Amino acid sequence: MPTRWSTYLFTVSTLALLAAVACSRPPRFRGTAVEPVAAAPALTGVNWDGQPFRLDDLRGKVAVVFFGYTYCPDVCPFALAKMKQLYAALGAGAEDTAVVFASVDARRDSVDKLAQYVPGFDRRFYGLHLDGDDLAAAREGWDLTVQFGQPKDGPGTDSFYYVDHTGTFFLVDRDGNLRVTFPPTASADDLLPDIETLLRG
Amino acid sequence: MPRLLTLALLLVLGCAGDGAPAADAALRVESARAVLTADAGAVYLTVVNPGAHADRLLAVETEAADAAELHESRDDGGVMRMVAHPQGFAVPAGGRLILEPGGKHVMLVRPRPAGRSVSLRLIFEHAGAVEVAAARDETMAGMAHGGH
Repeated sequence: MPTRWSTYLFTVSTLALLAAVACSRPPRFRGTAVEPVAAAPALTGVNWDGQPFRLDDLRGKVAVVFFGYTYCPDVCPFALAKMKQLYAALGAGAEDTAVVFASVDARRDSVDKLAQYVPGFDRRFYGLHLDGDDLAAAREGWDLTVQFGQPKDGPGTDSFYYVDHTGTFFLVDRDGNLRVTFPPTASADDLLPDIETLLRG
Repeated sequence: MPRLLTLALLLVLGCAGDGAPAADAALRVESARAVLTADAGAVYLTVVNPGAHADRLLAVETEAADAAELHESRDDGGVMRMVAHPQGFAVPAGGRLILEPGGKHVMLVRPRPAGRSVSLRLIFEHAGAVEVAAARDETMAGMAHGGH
């Protein structure tokens, strides 16, 4: 009887200890962890170099995915500049980290247009043209808000207009799972530790 | 005792006054830089107002773009929105107005850069026109005008 009692005590205290350890574990990510862990939404398009792109093909690498457009005067160049800083901070880790900028403005952002824009930041960055179904699928899959402003030269013209858009940074792990999100205001220093965590596996 | 307090108060006020001289102390513009991409651009700068009166940046004029407007990028629950400020931006007395990436900025439509800087005329409600040369910042620009 005493033996059974002590076994019981031992089991209970071990479980309590495990629970305490589990609860006190510091959060693994600085950004917002995506729970439960699941495959990232599909992302298919054409890269600025004319090659077809599928997010699935990046398996084995960590990917930072975000959306924008090349006519964007402030936020998008800022985001791409942050990615440049990120690559510099990652050093060798940059080779295992893909930066994916996907345009939500298919009408103006042709593959050629992206080729004049994205590699100017870093030739290793992906700059995606998403057309028709690809763009529709991305908007739904990544739950994007995309709102086109009024063209400056009047409705229906292909002139200067803004696109309000989701500016979230999405972090995808080596297995293709969406793991962490950061707000548009996040800096390269904010993203860095979480990318390093994902690079370690 | 109350006299002593008054004296102390005067001293404190005197010190505070040191940094805020005559009311006509001129506005100045610092660290003006332009980030130009293919079809759009942004100018960032800091307006320092050492004077005792608030002012307002009403508009920006330039020959180096189709248009220059005062805008603000705002994070609306993860959605980046472009907010126009046709009434301009306030410059507080003894304070500063900061235009920076991801926030308030001068938005340029179809910039036509000539050389290493962009010439702008900032129009203030009280201070009038202030000429500024914004140096082109290549670290944030992906588009190399006339480059490779």
